[in-house]
Parts: sequence; C-alpha cells; structure tokens
Amino acid sequence: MALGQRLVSGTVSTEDGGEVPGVNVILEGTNTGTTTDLDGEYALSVPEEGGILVYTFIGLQTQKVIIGSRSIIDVILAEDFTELQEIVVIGYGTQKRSAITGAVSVTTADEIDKLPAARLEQVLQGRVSGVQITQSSGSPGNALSVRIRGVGTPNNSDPLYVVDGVWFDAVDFLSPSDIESISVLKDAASAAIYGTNGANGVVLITTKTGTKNKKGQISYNFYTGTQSLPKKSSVLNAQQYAELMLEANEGLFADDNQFSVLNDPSALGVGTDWQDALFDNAPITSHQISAQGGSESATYSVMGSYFNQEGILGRDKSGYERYTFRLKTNQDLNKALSIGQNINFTRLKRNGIAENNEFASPVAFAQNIDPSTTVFKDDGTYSYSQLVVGDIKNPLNRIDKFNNSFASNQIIGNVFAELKPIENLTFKTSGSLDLTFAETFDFAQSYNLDPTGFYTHEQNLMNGVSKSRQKWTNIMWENIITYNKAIGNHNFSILAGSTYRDRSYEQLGLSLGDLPFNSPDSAYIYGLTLDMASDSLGNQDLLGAYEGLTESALFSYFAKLDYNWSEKYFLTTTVRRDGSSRFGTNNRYGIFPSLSLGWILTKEDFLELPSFMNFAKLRFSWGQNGNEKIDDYGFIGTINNGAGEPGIRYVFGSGQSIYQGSAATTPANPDRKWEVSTQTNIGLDLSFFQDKLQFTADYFLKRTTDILIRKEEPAIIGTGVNFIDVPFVNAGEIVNKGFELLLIYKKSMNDLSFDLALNATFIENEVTDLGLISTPVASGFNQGVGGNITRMEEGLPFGYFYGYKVLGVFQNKFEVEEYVDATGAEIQPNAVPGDFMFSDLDADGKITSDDRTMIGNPYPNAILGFTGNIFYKVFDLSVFVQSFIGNDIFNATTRWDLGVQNRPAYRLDRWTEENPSFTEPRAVINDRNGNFRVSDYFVEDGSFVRLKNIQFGVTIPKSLSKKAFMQKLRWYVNIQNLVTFTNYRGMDPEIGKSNGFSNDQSANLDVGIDRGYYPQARVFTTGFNITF
Amino acid sequence: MRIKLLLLSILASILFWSCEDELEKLPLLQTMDGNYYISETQAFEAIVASYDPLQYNFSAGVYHFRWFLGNFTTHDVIPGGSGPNDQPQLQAFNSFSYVPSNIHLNSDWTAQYQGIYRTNALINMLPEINMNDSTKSQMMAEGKFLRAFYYFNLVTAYGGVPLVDHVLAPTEFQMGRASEDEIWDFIELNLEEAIADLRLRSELSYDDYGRATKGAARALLLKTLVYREKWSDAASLGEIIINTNQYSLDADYEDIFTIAGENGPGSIFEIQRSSQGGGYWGNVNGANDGNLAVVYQLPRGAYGGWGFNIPQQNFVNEFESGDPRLNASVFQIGDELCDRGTLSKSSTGFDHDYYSKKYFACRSEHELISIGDPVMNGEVNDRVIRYADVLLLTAEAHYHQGDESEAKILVNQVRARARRSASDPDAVLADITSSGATLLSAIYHERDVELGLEGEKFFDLVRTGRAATILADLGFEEGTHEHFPIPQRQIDLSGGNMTQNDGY
Repeated sequence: MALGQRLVSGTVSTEDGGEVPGVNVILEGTNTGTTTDLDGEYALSVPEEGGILVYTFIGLQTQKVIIGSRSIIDVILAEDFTELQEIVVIGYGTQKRSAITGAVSVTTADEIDKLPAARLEQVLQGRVSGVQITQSSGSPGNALSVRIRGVGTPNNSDPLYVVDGVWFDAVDFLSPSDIESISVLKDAASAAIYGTNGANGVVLITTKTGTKNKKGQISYNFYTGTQSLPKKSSVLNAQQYAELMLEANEGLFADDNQFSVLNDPSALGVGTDWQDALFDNAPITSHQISAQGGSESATYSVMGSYFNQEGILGRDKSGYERYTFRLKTNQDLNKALSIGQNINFTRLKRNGIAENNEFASPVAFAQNIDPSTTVFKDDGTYSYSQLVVGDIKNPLNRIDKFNNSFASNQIIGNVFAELKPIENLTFKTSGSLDLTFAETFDFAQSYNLDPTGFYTHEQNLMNGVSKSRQKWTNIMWENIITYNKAIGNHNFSILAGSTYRDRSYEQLGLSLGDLPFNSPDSAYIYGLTLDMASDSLGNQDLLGAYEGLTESALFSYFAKLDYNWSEKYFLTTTVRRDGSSRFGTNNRYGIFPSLSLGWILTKEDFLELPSFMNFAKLRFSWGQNGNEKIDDYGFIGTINNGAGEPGIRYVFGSGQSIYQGSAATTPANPDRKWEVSTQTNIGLDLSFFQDKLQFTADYFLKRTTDILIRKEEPAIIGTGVNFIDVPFVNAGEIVNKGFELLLIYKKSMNDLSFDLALNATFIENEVTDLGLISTPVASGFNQGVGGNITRMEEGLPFGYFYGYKVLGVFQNKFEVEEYVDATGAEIQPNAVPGDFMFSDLDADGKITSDDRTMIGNPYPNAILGFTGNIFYKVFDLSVFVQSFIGNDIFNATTRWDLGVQNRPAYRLDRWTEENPSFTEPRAVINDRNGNFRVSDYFVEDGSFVRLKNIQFGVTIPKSLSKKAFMQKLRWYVNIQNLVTFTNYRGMDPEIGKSNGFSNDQSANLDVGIDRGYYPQARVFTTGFNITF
Repeated sequence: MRIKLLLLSILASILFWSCEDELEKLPLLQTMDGNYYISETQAFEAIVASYDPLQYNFSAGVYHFRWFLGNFTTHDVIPGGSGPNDQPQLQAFNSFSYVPSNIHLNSDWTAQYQGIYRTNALINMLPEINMNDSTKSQMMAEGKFLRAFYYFNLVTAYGGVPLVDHVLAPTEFQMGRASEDEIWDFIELNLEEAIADLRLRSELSYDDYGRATKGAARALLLKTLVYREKWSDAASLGEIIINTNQYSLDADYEDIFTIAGENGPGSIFEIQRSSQGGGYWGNVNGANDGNLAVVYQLPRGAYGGWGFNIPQQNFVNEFESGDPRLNASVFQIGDELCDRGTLSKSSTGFDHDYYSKKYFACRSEHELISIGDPVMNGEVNDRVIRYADVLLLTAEAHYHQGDESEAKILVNQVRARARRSASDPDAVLADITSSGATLLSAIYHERDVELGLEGEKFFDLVRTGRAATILADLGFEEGTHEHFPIPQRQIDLSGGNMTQNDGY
C-alpha cells in the first residue's frame, strides 16, 4: 500500500437486500476504482484524507459517499426507477414504456405478491383499467370471468394467455407467486400480432427469471389464515315465516294439513337459521419458495409452491389444493448462441358444490327451506322439510350426499435456442409441449330421509358414480427472426416469424349405478362382465361409457416493423396471416393488419410545454383481430349415427327392440370463419413533476363483426331444426366503446413514502346486428320467476334483463277498477288490492308477454380500482379498493313459484291494509295476478365498493435479520373482503357470468342473475416473507 | 461470411417452413355427410331415421302431440295441468285463442318436416345403394308411406303447406305453400306407390312389427279419400282392406289400450315405444323412445303425472248407458289405477272427476326401468290407425254412396265388439237400424266414442262440416279455425314466401 493510503471496504446491496456484484466504485476525480465481487463486496485504497466514492451500476441510482474517517462503508443503492425507461413485455418482444404506441397495462410482482390469491385473475382484478374481472363464485379455485374492453361476442370472450411465450386458454396451473410481470394488450394493434387469437385481448405473463451476475437469493413466503362468511342473506325466521304463510293462506291451515304446524307462529320462535348451520370457518394456507440467480453466462430460477384452501361451504367438499413447480434456466453457449428451458408442473384438485342453480345449490336451499324445520332429526340424522317439498332440499344433507371433484396434472415444457449470427440479427426457435391429464369424479349416495316413503323429495334411491379421464395436448413451435438497425436518427426493428400450434383433447368416461358400497371412498367400477353391457347401445343396465376426441391446428406467419425517429415519432405496423383447421374450407386463411403511431410532445421544442410536465405522449392505433375460439368442426356437415350421441332411434318388433338409425343433422357451412374485431384506440400519457404524478387516458371503439350465431333456417329443410343442430353462421355485430383512465401519485419524504393509483373504466356495449336472426336470443332461465331473464337483441346491450315493468301496488279495489285501457276495460281484472300494477306497454288493454321491456343491464357503467401503499420506517400498509358502479343484479335467490318457500326479510314490508306499501306486494299463495313474474321488482342495483384487501407489514431491520443470515424478514397481516358497501340485498354483489367454466352461448348470455352463488369469503391471513 | 449466409438461409427456410397440410382436421368420432350411405346396413339406418320423428313429442323446444290439436279443441276435454296458467299456449287450444306464434304449433310443424326430410333423404339415396332389389323397393315403399303420413298430419292441421319432395339445396330453403289439393294429391300418389311394394301384415316377421304394411298404407289412403270426400274410391278401398283379412277387431275393447294389447289384431299402424331407451331430460329431443303422453295424462299429485287431457262430462255423456267403452276410456274417482292406488280428488289435489285412460300404463310396466328418467320413457304405443276406424270410415263412405245397409253392417260390427264386454250384452248398444241423416249421426257418434280421446275428434268435426255449430261456444269461427295458423316463426323464416291462413 502506498504511503498516505488506507483501505476502505464494504458491501453494496440493493433495497431488497441483495448484494450487487459488478458495481463500479470510483474515487471521484481520479482513475482509482474497483468493482464489487460476486458477494457485492469491494475494497479500495483511498488517500488518508479520504474523498468521495462514487458507486455506479446500470439500473441503480448512482450514489456518492463522503469517506470521512470510515474504513467500512456499506452502501445501499436505490433502483434507478424512472418508469418511462421501464421495459414492458409486449407481443413477441419488449419495449421501453415511453415507446409504446398501443394500449398496454402492466402489473408487476410488487403488486401481485401483496394479495393472497389463488389464481392469476384475482391478482389482476381491479388493477388494470379496461378489464372487467368478475368473481361470481367464491368456491375455492373457481374460474373468474375476464373481459377485456367489454363483451364482443356471445361465444368465447376469454383472452389469450401467453406465459413466457407459450399460449394457453386458461392459466389455473400458475401460482401467482411465480409471476414477475403481467402485460395486458387491450387494443387491437397491440394484439394484432396474435391474429385470430387476439380478438378478446391478450394477457402476457412473464415468470420470475434469474439475473446474470447476481448472487442467488432464496425467498420463502408463507401465510395462513381463516375464512368466514362476510354477510348472510336476510330471511324470515320461523315465526315471521309462519305469520306470512297464514296471511298468504288468508286464514288458519286445516288441522289435517301439514302446514297446520304454522297456525301458532309465536310457538315456533326463531327456528333454524339455515345459513348459520350451513356456513363454516375454513382455513387457507400457502407456502412458496423461490430462488433466482445467475453467473456471467447463465441464469436460473427455481420456484415451488403449495396452496390449500378449504371452503366456507362444506369445508373440504369445496376445497382446493395445488402444488406447483417451475424451473427456468438460460445458458449462453458462446457469444452467438444461447439456449434455455422452462419447465412447469402443476397438480391441482378442486372439489365442487352446486351453485347458482335453483334446483341444486345449497346456498339457494338455505334461503328457501322453511325455518321451522330443524337441520337434524332427534336421532341425529338429517331432517327434511314437510312444508317446502319438491325442489328445495336440506342443504346440509345435499352437501353431505354428493361429491364432485376435478383434479389435473399439467406438465409444460418449453425449450428455446437463440442465435445471433451477425450483429443486430437474432433468430429464436422455441418449441413447447403442454400436457394436461385430468380426472373428474362424481358420486351421489343413495339416501332416503323419510323412511316411511311418504315424502319422496329427499331421496335418491340408487347411488351412482361417474368418472372420466381427460387429456389435453398442446404443441407449439415458433420461429422468430428480429433485426435492429439505427441509421442516424432513424431506428428500425423488424421481426418476422411463424407459429405452428396443434391441439387435441381426449376424454374417456364411465358411469355406474347401484354400487354395492354407498360411499365415495369405495366407488370403484370393477368386475364388469359382458352381461352388464349386453345391450347393443352400450347403455343397458347401469353402465354408461363415453368417449370424446377432437383436434385442431393453427399455422401462421407474422411480421412487425417498429420505427422511430429520434425516439420522438413512433410507428409500429404488424400483419399476421392465420390458417386454422376450425375454419371452413372456403375461408381457411385470414389476414390481420395493424398500425399504431406515437408522438412524444415533450420532445418538441416548438410546443413550449410547461416545465412541470416532464413527459407527454399521444398515441393512436388501429387494428384487426380474429376470434378462433370456436368449436373444432362446426363447418362440417355430419351424420349422426349414434356414435357420438344416441339421437336417432326407433323401436321395431314384438320384443320392442331399439334400433339405431342415421341421418345428417347439421348442414355443412364451408364459409364459416373467425369473428373479426376491429378496434381504434386514442391515448394520451402525461407525467408531471418528474413522474410524481402520472396520467393515462385511452378512448377505444371496438367493433366485432361476423359473430358466429345460430342461424335458424325454415323448418322445412328438415336438418338443423332441433336446437342443438341449428348451424352457426357468421352474422352478428357487437360494438363496445369506452374510456379508461389511470392516475398515479407518488411522494417520498424522509422516512415516509407513499404511492396512490386510481384506475377507472367506462364501457358502453350494444348489439348492433343479429344478422338474419329474426328474434332476440334469450337465456338466463330461472324457475323462481318462471322465465328467461337475459337477452341479446339488436340495439340493446348484450345480456340485458328483459321483463315486465311494475308501476306500483294497487292500494284498493278502486285503483284496480281505475286501471283501464282506452275502451274502459280493466287491464288487470284478476288483480286485488296489494297486487302489482304492471305497465301495459303496448296499450292493448292486457298484460301480455309483449309488455316486457329492458329492465336492467348486468354490466357496470364504471369499474374502479384504487391502490394505496404507505411506507413509514419499518412499517408498510397497503389498501386495495375495488368498485363496480351501475350494474344491475337480478335477485333470483327465492323460489317465488313455490308459494310456500321462505322469503327474504324485506317481505316483512309487504302490503297489507294496515301497511300500504307501494313497493312490496301482498303475501299470497294463490297468485292470480302473477306478481312474481320476471319484472323489475327483482332488479337491484348491484353497485358496490369493496375493501378488497388491506395489508399491514413490518420489516425487521436488516441489522437484526442479518444476524440470522436473512437479507429480509417481513411479517404481515392481511384481510381480504373486509367490508363491502352495497345496496344489494343478497349475499354478495359480485355477480357475473353464470358458469365460469362453460363457454357456450347460453352460459355467456346468462349474466348478472343471482340464483344462490357460493359467496366470497372474508379472509384473515398472516404471513411472512423471508429472503436469504 | 459465406458460412453465415448459409446459416441465414437455413434459418429463413425454417421460418417459412409450412404446416398447411396439418390444417385438415376432420371429426374423429363423427361420420361426415357425403358418401355415407353405401350398403343395406346404412339403408336400414335411414329407414330407422325416417320412423324416428314419429316418436317426437318434443321439438323446437316444446311439446307437441296430435291430441293437443285433436282433443283440446273440443268439448271432450280441457287441457288441464296445474290450472289455467300451466302452459297458457296449450290452454289456448280450448278456446280457439291460439295465435300464429303458438310454440306448440311450431313444434308440431318442425317435427313433421323433420320426418319429411328423413324420408326424402331415404328415397333420394336408395336407388344408388347396391342391395337386394325387393328389399330396396319395400324400403322405398316404407319411405313413401311415412312421407305421406307426415304430410297427412300437416295438411289436416294447416291446409296447404310447402311441398318438399327432395332434400333441399340452400337456394330452395325459402319455399312458398302448395295448395291443399296439391298436398292431398301428393299424399295419394305416395300411398298408391307404397301399397304396391309394402308387405302384408301377415308377411311381417315378429322382428318387423311396427313397420309400415300394405294395410297401413291402404288405411291411410282410405282416410285421405274420406277427407277428400271421394266416397266411391273410399268405399271400394275400405272393402279391399276388410276382404284382405289381415285385421280383426280385438275381442275386448279394453284390451286395446293395455301394454299387452299393443300391435293386436285390430292394430293397423302404431307408433312403437319402448321404456328401455334410457331417455332423460338432457336428450329429450331425439333419443326418447318412450311416450311422454303417459306422464302428460297421468293424474297429478300422488300419482306423479302432469294431469293434462282431462275428460269432461260432455265426453262421458256421449256414451250410451252401459257402454263398456266408457270405463275403458276414462278413469273415474274411486277407480283403481292398476298398481298406482285408488283415484281420489284429494290425492290429485284437483277437482277433476275424470282422467284419460288411453295412455295409461301400470307403474310396474315402465317406471321401474333401469336407466333414464321414467317420465321420459312411457311404455305405451300410440294407436294411430285401428281397424275400427277403417270400418267406420268405410261405413261412412258406403253411406254417402247410398249403401246404407252395408254402412249399418260395418257400424254394427264395431258396436257388437263393444257390447261383448258389457255385463249384460243384450241390454246395451243395440244394433243401429236407422237410416238417412239419423244413420249418419249414428256413424259419427260411433266414431266419437270408439275413437274418443285419440285425437280424431276435432279433425272429424271439421271434415264433416259440423265444427262451426258444435264448437261455436268454444270460440270456433267458420272460415278461420278449420285450419290452424301457419307458425309465425316459419312465415318469418320463409322470407315472406309463405302466407298465413285466412283469419289469423
């Protein structure tokens, strides 16, 4: 060591605790310097009198430190976080945020890790403008509906998911903790490079990746907690129920009538609270471990997780369990060639309980069964109602006697190689295989709650099991070539590629009735003999067998040009040509173009923008996508000969044998093709005060044409006339237009920093054309009101509620007689005081089905999301609020058609002579006025504001945690769904599509109807994050 | 550099490698339309498919039965169900307040044309199939019989309808209506051709029961001639059926409608039903081989039925005192419903005095089936054409030909059989001896009771010109209600090529 020199050493790390290798440490004003080693440590000779050390590293903020007299100087470098420099994942590549010309929303791991979520969709919910994510079902592991920029088709509206370059229809194999970032491509131009798979938007997911030259870090995250029912649906107690029934019966029940038990209401007391009996507290647990790191030439990322959630309904009967494992590595073989792989294995099992079904949902049963019946009989076995018989069952018995589960093993392998043969040119080839093996299991026990056999509604005389095995295979091969070039201020990037995708689905199932053991644990299908399956149709006796097998393929070329001049003017144009086996032979190939432009205003001197505005950009884009998510063989005319379905048969012979026939059922449509979505987007990005305040606004107009709808032909053609055989043709049109806003404010002062983000979406939807369909398409049948509720009709929003309009309640006989048509005839001659007055819209003097009209819209006018994070010293608090404004819910949780079922508590306000209600009709059993037909009486405002998540955390100071070899130790408590503000009177206002897993038109059109969903739980969890 | 160019060209060729051949994906488990029908096996499948729509009780989303049209429009029954609000579009038949948008009419129309399509497909493809010639001509004849049958159902309900005699090309989908006479002529032509090649009933093997016979085609032609009032042809055709000695009246009227009585000696054409098809709610459209009429007509409440087609006092009064056919046609309060218990009002929950008996089956006969939903799998054949019907139609023809004595002989045959099962046969149903208008009334009366509740009544009233007077109080208007309206949906779908019947 030279004279007058001394040694200074230390460690350079980042805010999250990781040591940083390769940091330049330079004595300011000299050439003296060094770099940190793999452990982030450095040592440097400095003059005795000290000086200033400058620490620099790409991506981290440069820091200057006065040496003073210290010999050990540990430095923490802050992230060099200017968001405009942030790299955003887009279709087939990445781009600086400032260069993006389309409409892309990004969510990163920071946000994702804060929510104890089972599924990716829950993570995205409320965080991204333009995306409506609805969790109708609180059943653990159930799917959510994801609608990017409105509903553009009655067919499959689900977006395409691209995980590390591989395409998926659903991503329930992903543990949210594996995710590094999510980009949602919302406008057509951004998604156009996905062609026929881009019409519903694209969600690009990047999993956590190791970083080169970074020492390995292992983190372990754990949480556990308990879930409970946030809100019961308020129904009558036993005494109130009896009083209402007596009133409806207009007197006491006869002694020999089973309802006579209601004759003395006060004796019944409050009776059974079925919801208390039904719901339970249930545990939730998650373990997640991950390690990332990298050397100079290789990176790795290893992740594993275990998630277990029981349900508040039936505990394990609706439980969800998932194991995931992921290994992601990348190796540079030499300067020009690198190779990488990404393997994922997921095992999940989801048990299910029927919901949103007036005939099977225990949640609905609990609200309809009479409160005077007990849950159990005196002998401890399940009781049954003798009053509300038929479709309504003891909900606890229902859960006990039925089992349903879906389990899958999914293996995804992806290998890629990247070659840079000459400067600026990259060639990448990537192959992936995605295999899913699934098992479904259904078992119904036999039982008979009334052994005397008098009441038969609570019996299942024969048990039965049904099991099936499914296999999905998804093979993809993609080749991409990119070339970048800068000539002066002209920057070019060109990309060309091809995709081949081949998918198949196989299913084999068996069902058997009358099993020897009445338990799901011994429901084995074994010992079958030929005798049992002797019938020529294969379904004689109690054995059923079925097989399913479909295939599809996609082959595409695509190209993209990015150009900018001096990073001030931007132009991107893409084109994709897709060929799909699902399209008719006359329309096998589709071409999908896009163009987008950007202009950074703040780089224009002549505009003289105020200096506090540090960034301003205008964006414009136009593009076309297709929707290939249609059934595999819809364009082919097929013969039904009983192989697929036993449809065509007749009986001959003295022994009345059944013979199988054959006939063409669905006519061919060789012209059938993709649905086309054309979208224009105009956007503006503004940043003020060095990004402290950021504002993004987008306007879009999305027009989906050539929508596949069933086109009914005249019945005289003889085929395609039964509902399932009516062919799909490209006909309809739906328009969605809307605004999206995003506002972010950040501030940091000494020990305190916070950031706030608000996003808002306003979408208008209209079905503009139903092609040749002569009548509106109806769906959403509900038995309680005895009709279809939702509709798709030209000129109105998709899935609007259709029914009668209630004008009021007739207060007296005079009002009934006064309600007359032009000729003076009574419009509702059957009505009595206390009945509803319905609007005679067509003025024909009668209340007929033509008097129905639009009575509600299940889609919100506005979707809002608010996120706030506050950090003070070692404490952090984050709040996430989600809100829907203006959506309607059709409350169909009550079986009004039965007349004897229990009723919501608001029926206490019913009309009586003493209580002249103007909104609640009288109590009535023999309802000649049809008070409970489909009307706006059942339509409630579904707007809500929900404190979706609140989390409070404490990070142990590093000086302490380091003693236990930990880089970071954070403990937190979290509450999900703590409070929901809504006027909706049902259990949970978050009501979307009826069935999260089905995508047929009637399911997609069945929106906003509450038939007794599995409500979302309130979840209390506590957990910790440890990084080593 | 040269090696890099080579590398680049290899990469480019990978990039533009094509998989277009892989885009030909065809269904693996389904058979495609095209060259499927090549052998007798497939010809037989097409035969089965042609009969299949006979069994349809549920098409285009709702129920339809011939007896909706033939019974509900008369004083014999009220629709029933749980009351006036149960399926209001069905209740409308009882007051002639049905409108063109009536879904049951659309359902009926759809099923008939599905049958016509299947027979057209069979008739079109048969000549191309390489098979035994006599089997081929017999199958061809069956196709023509069935095609005539479906058109008979249409023309009697709607009048002139689109005449579809081949599998339609897309350019022909929007067809207009043919005249009523053209349809009748087409029916006659098909039946005449069918008669030539169909087998006699006695030539059928047991395995072929239920397939169309020469007798069935002749009987349907007889009906056609009677509807067209071609009395002379009808009288001689009736005699041919009688003299061919293929049929006789079942000994006991009551036996006809039992399970054991299916395809009995007096059965000329029956729609065959099986409870073993495993039909359930999910496949009610096509796979249902059972008869929904059974549950439809079974009393409600404890008996598990839906309680439709409720016989009225009017109908009961039609029967002469002591006519044993009354008890064979209706259940009365206090009757034993086989193994379903004793009929009482309290058990049904309704105030009806009578229930229909002609689609009744004991529980043991079909509800203990091993698979499917018993509701969907009623084990009762539809008796479509019975020998008694032929005798009475022939009698009517003779009457109009002026041969009253022959007419009386035939009517009295029917009465004699009925009389036989009375407790005191000598005291009831004396032979008809009247003549002139009284005789004609007696023949009509005999049809009303012999064929009661079998869906003939309304059509008989219209055919014989009596509907306007008899049904006036129900709302029947002359000039309108002789025909049901063409389903509005079909008019809309025809692009305006079909016109509505008068009065609707």
